[in-house]
Amino acid sequence: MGFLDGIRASKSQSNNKSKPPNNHFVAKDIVFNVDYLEKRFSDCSDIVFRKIKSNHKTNKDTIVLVFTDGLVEGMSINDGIIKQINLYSQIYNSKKINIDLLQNLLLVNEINRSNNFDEIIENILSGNTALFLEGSDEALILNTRGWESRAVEESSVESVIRGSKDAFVENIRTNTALIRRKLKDPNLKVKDLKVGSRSNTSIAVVYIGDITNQQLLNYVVNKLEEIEIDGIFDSGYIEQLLEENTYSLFPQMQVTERPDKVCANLLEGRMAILVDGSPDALILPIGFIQLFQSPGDYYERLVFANFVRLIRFFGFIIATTFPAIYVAITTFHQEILPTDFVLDIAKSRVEVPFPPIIEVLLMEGTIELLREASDRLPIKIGQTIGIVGAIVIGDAAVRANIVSPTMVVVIAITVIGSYIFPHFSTSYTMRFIRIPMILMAATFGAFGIIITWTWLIYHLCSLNSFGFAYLSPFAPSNLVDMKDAAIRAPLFGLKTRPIPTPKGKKSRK
Amino acid sequence: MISKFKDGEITSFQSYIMIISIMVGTGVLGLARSVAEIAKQDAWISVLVNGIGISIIIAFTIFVISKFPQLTFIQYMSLLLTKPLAYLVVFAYGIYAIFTTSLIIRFLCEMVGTWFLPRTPLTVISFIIVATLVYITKDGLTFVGRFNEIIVLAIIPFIFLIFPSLSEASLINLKPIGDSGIHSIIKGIPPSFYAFGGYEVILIIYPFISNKNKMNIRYSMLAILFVTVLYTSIVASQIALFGYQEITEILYSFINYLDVIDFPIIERIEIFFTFFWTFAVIGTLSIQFIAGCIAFQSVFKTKKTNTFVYLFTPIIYILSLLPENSVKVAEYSEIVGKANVCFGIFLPIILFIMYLIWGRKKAYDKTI
Amino acid sequence: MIKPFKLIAIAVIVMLLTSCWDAKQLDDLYLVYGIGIDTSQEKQQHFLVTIVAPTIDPEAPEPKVEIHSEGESLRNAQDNIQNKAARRITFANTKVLFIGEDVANKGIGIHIDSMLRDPEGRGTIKLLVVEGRAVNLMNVEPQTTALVSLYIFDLLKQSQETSTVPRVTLRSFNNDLKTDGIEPVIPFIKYGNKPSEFQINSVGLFNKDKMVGIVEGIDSMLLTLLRSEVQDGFITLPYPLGEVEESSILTLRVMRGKSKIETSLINNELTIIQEVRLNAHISEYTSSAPVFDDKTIKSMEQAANSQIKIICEELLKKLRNEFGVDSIGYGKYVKVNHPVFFDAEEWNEQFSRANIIIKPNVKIQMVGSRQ
Repeated sequence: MGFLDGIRASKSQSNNKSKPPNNHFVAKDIVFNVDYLEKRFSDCSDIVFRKIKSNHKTNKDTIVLVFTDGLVEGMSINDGIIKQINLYSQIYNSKKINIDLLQNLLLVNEINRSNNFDEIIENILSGNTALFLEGSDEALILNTRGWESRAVEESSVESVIRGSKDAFVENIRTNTALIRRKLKDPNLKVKDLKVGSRSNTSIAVVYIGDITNQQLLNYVVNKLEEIEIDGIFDSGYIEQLLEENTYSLFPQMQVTERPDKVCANLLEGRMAILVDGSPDALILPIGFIQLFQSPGDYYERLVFANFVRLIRFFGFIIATTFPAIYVAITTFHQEILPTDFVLDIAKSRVEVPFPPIIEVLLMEGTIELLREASDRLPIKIGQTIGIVGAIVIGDAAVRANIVSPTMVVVIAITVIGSYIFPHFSTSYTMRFIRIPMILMAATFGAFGIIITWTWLIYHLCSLNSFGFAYLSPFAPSNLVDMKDAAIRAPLFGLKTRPIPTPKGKKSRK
Repeated sequence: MISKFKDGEITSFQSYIMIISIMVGTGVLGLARSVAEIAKQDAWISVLVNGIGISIIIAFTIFVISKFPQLTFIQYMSLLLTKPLAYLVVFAYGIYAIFTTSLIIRFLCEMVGTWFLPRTPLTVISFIIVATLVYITKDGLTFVGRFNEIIVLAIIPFIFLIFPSLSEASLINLKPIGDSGIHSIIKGIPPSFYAFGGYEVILIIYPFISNKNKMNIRYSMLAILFVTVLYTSIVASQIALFGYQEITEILYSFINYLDVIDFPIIERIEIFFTFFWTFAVIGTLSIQFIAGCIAFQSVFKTKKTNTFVYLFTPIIYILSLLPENSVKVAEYSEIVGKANVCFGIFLPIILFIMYLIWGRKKAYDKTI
Repeated sequence: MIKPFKLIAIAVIVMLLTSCWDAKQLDDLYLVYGIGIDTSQEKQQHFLVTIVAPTIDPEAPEPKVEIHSEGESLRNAQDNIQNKAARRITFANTKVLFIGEDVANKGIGIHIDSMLRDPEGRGTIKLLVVEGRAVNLMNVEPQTTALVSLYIFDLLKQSQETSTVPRVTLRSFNNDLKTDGIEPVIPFIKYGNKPSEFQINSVGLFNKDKMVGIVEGIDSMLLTLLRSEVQDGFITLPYPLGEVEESSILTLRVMRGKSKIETSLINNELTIIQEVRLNAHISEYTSSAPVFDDKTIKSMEQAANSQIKIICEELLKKLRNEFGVDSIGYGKYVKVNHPVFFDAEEWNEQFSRANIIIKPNVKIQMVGSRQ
């Protein structure tokens, strides 16, 4: 068919960012329209064409509804559309319906008009209903969305002891609603984009209009619009396509399921990206300090909140360096240890055939395997495997003299320490940093640890998250912003926003 | 995007930190010994006087170069001295910086080789240090500035480590105060130059400061005074502990200073100290190396500083392996100390004089 | 940008896989806790060095291993020992250096330098002069611990904490050796009544690096006191002063004390006044007369002062006339106050001719729990 070929050809040329003028418009002939759609949706058994004859004199369908079964709420079509149409046609049998009349007639909360088939198809696939009227060259787009989705419940990966327990779900509208409920400010803007040539995923960029840096906003929106990919299924795709340093070990955007975290960051001048179908929101730009912060810090009282934060810093150092320190001390610098301790360690090591480096690598490998496996296990088996793992690793390995008990203690503390972060992805970072540190410590002792830390610190210094220095406010130093960095000042003291904001918006009002 | 700083720019605060970081480095180890050899128990007075003198010099230096806020090192040098002379001086500074970098690397290798890794060949240690140095400096001055802001925190343990051994020290070792005579005290100043060396890098980095203001002079002086106080306390406490007679035998007095008492958990606290000291030296190295590369870049007018960083990497690696033994290293560090006097004292004085003579007019011309 | 990184990364990985020059396994080491030096019985100029280290293997029949060997110097002997040792010897954990009496008499300066030069050696090694030969001591098997070195180290620590002997480490010995105006001392260990019993209550006096004499018992404690290192010692004296059989005994526990040394030079005659302040508690008073009375306390203090003065001056007489060394360090003060008069070489001579007055000043603060 001529025009279908034409459609296919033009579809392959156009991409998502700029729709070239499409010359497939709704015609006045309803048969043509229905035909066109039936051909486009051939073999799509879940696309329903509901034909309504409202004029019994001719045999033509007067009105056709096209919608996707499963994406629409049946009640709103039945009660809001079909019932109304039938009611009208019974009462006003002779009068002709025109499109404006219909628009006023239907009991639907959002009605748009369109004459562009691509737009109509997109809407049908999003859960809206398209209504074609014989003799009209415009179709009505009716909001009839409703589908099965998860209820708002507590996040399984990001929980706090004190604080709201609601978390984002897969529906983007519910997510934006959760944010709106916390920030009732008309300056809270939600900018909608569609990314993904075949998935047409809705992406929302959420920001507070007068606080956010316009340059950054434009940059991000441009970059999002330039993404060329066929499908976006999770915010992770967006994170990877947007970030500037793909090979860095540190995340440049924060990932969270909690609306209160998003709102707090929005108030600081940052922006959030929500992806339809993903419960994880992205926050950018961030600094290193954000990885250590949890919303619970702000809800708890001052002294305890700071204490917990300091523990996290300490945990960071332990999780990255502790096995390396163990290897360095027992292999190179035995003189550091006090006498009794050295004797004990020596005694416990004398049976073990491997040098400490092999021990450490073995243990690390086992722990990594265990962790990966336990991610996939169903809950019931998970418990059993946990016990098996503990017994195998903890007890049997020590007795078989494959590892020494000190090593087990070290690894156990490290593993627990690496989960101390509110931001889950950072645990990958730390597991990953640990390995070169252990290798360098095994080769060069304390010097190796120094060199690895130097590389790490420099990498953090040179990292920019969308122009925002990663180690701010430590480097470049900004004493005002340090109020909320390592430890936080009391809430009444947090008066300014930490990232560069437009003039006049620096203080929180 | 929203970055505040263009490439290569640093803040004033970073410049103060860089001054501190480049000064506290390898010199601090043997400072007490080299000065006590001449000034005996009043070595700390020599150090104090030296520090105060240097802070005054840096005040003058910044005063002069703050009159040319938009010009780089070579540009205002060309203005104050004549162009060929300026090129010569900058080139010489570049050579000096590269040479110093290699020397410091060599010293660091020796320290690491003595305390941490006795059997590892120096080539390997030096290679690792050079590789790290390249990684730090290849992206330019801004990141070196940020890096040093973090690294300078490694100096804080030095302050804490002074205190424990004080229980074994006795004030009598410091007396009689002033008895060595003004002459010895003054003669004790030159050996301490090497420890204070590095502050002349302000000549190179000042033009890159993005928010120059009136406080630059004051805070830079404070930075140097901070280092002075630190050094003075270190020297004084070491002399109080050892007495000036024993200290002349000990090459690296700071490390042995920590060896006198037993600590509860960590048996050898000096390894702890060397750990942090290595960070401080890496900080010093990064600034010194990039200063040299910037000097060369301005002479040869290349676009990026990277070229010289990569170019000089093999050179400093080879140079760091050249001296045959520790004695030669000590000799070279004396030469470096003398060169430091030239660049650190004579050059600012000359610049100041030149400024007084015809600089004012030239600055005025420039601003028209 | 990526390319140089790749090269560097490859180089680093290659190095990692082929290197580890310095790796020492803990169980491949002999952690030497004590070193002993004696003169060799066979060759005249050689030294016999002994080391004791624990065998860590729980299945080994002996908990410790003891090796000795001869050499021309300390390090030389150490190398020879390594030939007899199954594992690598490391001195990084050494705690005590036992010096045989004969070596002490010969002079230990050379050994001190050997130990200090190597960075592995620690400045806090405690020194001890052994009655007789060090190797005999190190062969003893104490009943309570596996290693004699650790046992003696603890013994030494106790003695130092009760101020019976001064605290002398390698570093402080070297300091006293190299500084003008003070002569070093080293605690001296003797055998007790049983073969595995030791006693540390004497001090060996050194002139430069050779031992010239020993003081013991109360003198040793007084030396510690005069060197201002007293921490927690006991002084016993009869009170009221008089014959020991008739009077009851008063024991004072002296805590920290400060001392001030003043010097004056009149007509080329040197007078040194040392005022020693001591805080004391009454630890024992064998009479049942009450002490809770200001006058009694004052008179007790007086008695203590005079007693201490007497025995100190006896000690000083010994130091001046019998041994001829200023082990207390008056010379440092004289050097500071009278630099022209002070003669570094001849200080010991000047010391023996000087007038020294000790002014003890005991302050009894607490009397215990009985009246």
